[in-house]
Amino acid sequence: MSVNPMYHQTNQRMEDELSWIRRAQKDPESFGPLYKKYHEQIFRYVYQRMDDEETAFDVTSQVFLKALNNLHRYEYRGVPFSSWLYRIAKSELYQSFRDKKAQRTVNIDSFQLCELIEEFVDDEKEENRKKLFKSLKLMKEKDMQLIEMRFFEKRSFREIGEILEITENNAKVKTFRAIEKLKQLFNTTKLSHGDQES
Amino acid sequence: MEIKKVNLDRKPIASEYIQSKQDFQHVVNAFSKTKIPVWKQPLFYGAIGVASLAAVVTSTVIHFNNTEIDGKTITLSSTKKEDKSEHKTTMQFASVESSSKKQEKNSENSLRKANVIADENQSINTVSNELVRPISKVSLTSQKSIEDESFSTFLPNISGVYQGDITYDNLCSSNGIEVKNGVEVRSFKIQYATGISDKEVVIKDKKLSDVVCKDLEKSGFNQMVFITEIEAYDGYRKITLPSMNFWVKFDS
Repeated sequence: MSVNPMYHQTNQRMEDELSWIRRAQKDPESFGPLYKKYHEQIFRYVYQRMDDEETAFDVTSQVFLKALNNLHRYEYRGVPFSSWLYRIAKSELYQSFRDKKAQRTVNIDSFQLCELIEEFVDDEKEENRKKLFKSLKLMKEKDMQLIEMRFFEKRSFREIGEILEITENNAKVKTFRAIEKLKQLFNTTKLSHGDQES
Repeated sequence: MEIKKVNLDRKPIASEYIQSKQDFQHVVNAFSKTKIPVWKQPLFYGAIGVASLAAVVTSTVIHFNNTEIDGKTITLSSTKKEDKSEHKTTMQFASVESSSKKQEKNSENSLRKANVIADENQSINTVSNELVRPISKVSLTSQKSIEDESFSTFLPNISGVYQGDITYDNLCSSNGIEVKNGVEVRSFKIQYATGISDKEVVIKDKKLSDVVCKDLEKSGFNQMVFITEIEAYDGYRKITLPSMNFWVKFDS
């Protein structure tokens, strides 16, 4: 299931959203509807990448506070307001990792894991799962976030591009390369005796 | 950034729970706390800076306009009030001074004295005044004394009184209108009340005539007397002196 099925909005909805933003730029209290609309999406984005729930709520609050502080700088560029919020969320998230308030975590469910393994091998046995787990830990952050958004959060390439401020095509290419790297890691990773036991 | 942990099948969080954790008011409160006050904003200092610069430039321009020296029209003052009084005096005696070499000499002497006690911290100001020669800096106190001296030098008086209370005896028994520095009064006009009507008499002398004195004596009451159009001769030409008014008293 996609994290934000409402990402691709109609022009009318985008215009409504823009009028909320204009109002909020003059009066912070008018930011309420935008907060209500995007709180859950931003929380899930943050929580997907960390382990602690309370910290995720704190970071989410921080995202909206930062958004409110910088709202006067916001410029409409024909993309949903949420892409701007995601960029702030990404920045706040990494800040919390740097400050050691949270730990970088990859959250994945069994179904997604199977889908991912199918990209590399036909066999979904336990050993391959463990190999994938190990490979994910070895991934670089910039590649990991593409895989997370595409495979775990089911975002479209357009949305990924808007969040990362790259083109849709570039998002496709980068995601493909990230998968290739993961595949390489998967193929070269050998499980140690300890890994097999755990 | 190192990935520390990979979680498989973590327990999902319900939307209702996430919504229950929404606290927009907390965000707004935090926003109002983090908002930078106007006086801390760079824009504020920019505006203040520009305003200060404009004030400095304006005051400098005004100062330069006031201190232009043309070699003829310099005098000294520190306040506007003093400027006004000085200007007034200058207006009244301009014609007298420009023609009187003798008096110029006196003025120059006064200025030399003033220069001796010159204070370097005093400022220069200018007004149209031919009385005073170009000088640099003179103390305010010396300037005041110059003013007083210049004024009393050309001030007509009767028995040492320029205006105000004067006794009948002093008015009529004295040598009449006197001026320092050899200025001789030739004629004047006097206005007074006889008790029946107001009278206006032109006297071709520096003393009040017997007729006027008798009229004043006859009226017998304290009254205001106006002496105007005082014409005098300074040794070179005819000049007009400032008017006088007296409160004539019979009491003492």
